Amino acid sequence: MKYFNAALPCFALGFASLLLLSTSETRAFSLNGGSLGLTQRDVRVFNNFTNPEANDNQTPHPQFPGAQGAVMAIWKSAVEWGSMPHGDGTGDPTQPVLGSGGANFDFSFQGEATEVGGIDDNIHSVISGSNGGVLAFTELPISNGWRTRYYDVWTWEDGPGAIAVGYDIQSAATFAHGSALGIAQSSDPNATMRGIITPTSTSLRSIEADDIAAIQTIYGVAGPSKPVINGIVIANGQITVLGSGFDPSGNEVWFTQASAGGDGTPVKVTDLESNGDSVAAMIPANAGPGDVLVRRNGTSFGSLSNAWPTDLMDTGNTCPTPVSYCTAQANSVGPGAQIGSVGLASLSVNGFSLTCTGLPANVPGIFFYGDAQTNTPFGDGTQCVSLTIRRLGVRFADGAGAVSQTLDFASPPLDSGGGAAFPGGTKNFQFWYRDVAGGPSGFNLSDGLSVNFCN
Amino acid sequence: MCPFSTQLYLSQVMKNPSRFKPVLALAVLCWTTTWTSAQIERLNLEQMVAKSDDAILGEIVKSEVIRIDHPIDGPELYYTHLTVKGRSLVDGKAQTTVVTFAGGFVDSEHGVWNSEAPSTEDTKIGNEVVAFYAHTSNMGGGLAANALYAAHGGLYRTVEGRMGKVVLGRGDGYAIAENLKLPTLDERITSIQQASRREGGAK
Repeated sequence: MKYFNAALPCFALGFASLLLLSTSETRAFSLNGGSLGLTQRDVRVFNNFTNPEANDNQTPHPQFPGAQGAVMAIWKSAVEWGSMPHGDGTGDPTQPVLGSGGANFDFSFQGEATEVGGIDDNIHSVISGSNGGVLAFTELPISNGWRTRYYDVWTWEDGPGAIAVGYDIQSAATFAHGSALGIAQSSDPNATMRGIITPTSTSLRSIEADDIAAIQTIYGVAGPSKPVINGIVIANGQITVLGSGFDPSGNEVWFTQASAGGDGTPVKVTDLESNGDSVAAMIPANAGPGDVLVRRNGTSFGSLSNAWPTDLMDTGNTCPTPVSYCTAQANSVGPGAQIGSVGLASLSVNGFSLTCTGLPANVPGIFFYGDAQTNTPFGDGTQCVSLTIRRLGVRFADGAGAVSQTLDFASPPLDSGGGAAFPGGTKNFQFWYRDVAGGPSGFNLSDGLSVNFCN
Repeated sequence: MCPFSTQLYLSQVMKNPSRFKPVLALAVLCWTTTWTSAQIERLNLEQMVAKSDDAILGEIVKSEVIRIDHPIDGPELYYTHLTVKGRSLVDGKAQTTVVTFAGGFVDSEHGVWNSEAPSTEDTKIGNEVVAFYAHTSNMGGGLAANALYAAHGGLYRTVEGRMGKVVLGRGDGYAIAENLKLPTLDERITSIQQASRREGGAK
């Protein structure tokens, strides 16, 4: 009996030890119990680094447009935790691809801040003085955000290549972002979140298998429900984001702010329709070079896409701008309904939408099109489209009297036969709508829109 | 999930099962605190002794958190002062020292977790610890204090074993990487100090 009493705790201890040691082989990370929601994806930099080495990289990089020096280094560290390669994945000569997280998480780079900010403002900055052997730290309210500080006493370097003296900003920031994400520490000597930093080392820039397992544990593995961006087209002040997993309506496109400051909230265009593979939006005046992301409906971690870099400059697509013609007649709410468009009339991009405004609220109507133009009284308005008329289905105006419809060039009637759109070809569009109070016929039409398609 | 130091400790227990009481091992098993990460210097013991002013072995008798709002360094800078009462591991003299690290909560709603701070388990009042510290005129926000050197990397708990007190190591990269008997740590620090004096580098 005495033997049994003595053996039991030993067995228990041995079993517990084996469990722990076994666990450490497959999961060396530990978590601090928090996570960053969709409102806490922003990253900003208050660039108050004082030593010149921290900002001597003045070479622009196409994957990090608009940023240089410490700001670019910290941006790189953020995208390394992203769900997939950031743009083409280049930018860091010490690793083949930036963007290794594979989780339902992506940061939204929001440029420069103009102050240190509070403990939950998601800003990197330098703090004066020294704190013994502490190089940097991250303050963690967690769900409300974070703040990272770098002690000014150390020599900081922005890379992008080897570090000659001092400490690598990008490495420290990669670690800091791991802390902000909710990862506490790893016992894996190869993990970035093991993170004992040595001078001139760049080894912590790249997250490793244990770090990836940690972020995927917190946010889930990036799956089919997470929208994906794989390209963009910009022309005529509009951006068309290409990818997959976008919702039919209610999408948002997030931009980096154009100017320093702000509160970290991305510049957003909301309520965007999509055919699932593309989202088009007018580029807001306060958006600047940086990243775009698409948020579909939903609040889950995976509702936000990967981040895609862009300088917001015209990408060179030569699709002509659609041209309005004909004249709308007055209706019950104003001078008449106006047809318009969003996105490129590009068959390969396949992200072109028709819009119509100035309608009575909530009325039904139909976008239709044909090969020829006319100017014929019809109902209480004017018919602007003729020859073979093809209808695109009933739509209802919203409460503000607006309606839109995304065209799918890969589906009937636009993909084949006489209704097919083809590069260099032109179709004429118009919107027919009910307006019982607007005149004796009870229906009216918008003006016309001539659309010349490109590849 | 046990922190790294605990895993090291368990490895040692497994290799030398008769050296430690099961109850001690089980107690250490329960010592699981994970709120530490590392953006700190990589230091061995020689480097830590060279860079710090002193190391105190003693009991944490008081813990206090302060808040500083600074016009340049920013709002809401929180620091924790730990009062440690014991003796110097350098000269053996009795001392009571306040060591400070960034982070902490003044109340349940105001404060921050700091990625480099020692864990709440490590800093409980009543714990016996080894703390390496160095005075700094500005830890940030203009605070002059005895900074816990390398934050959590400067604080090591002790536990009572059959063969005497053991200082719990934190793993590779830390000043005390592996578990050490307290007399061994005493001897090593003394040896480092003597070597430093021979080289004319005594403090």
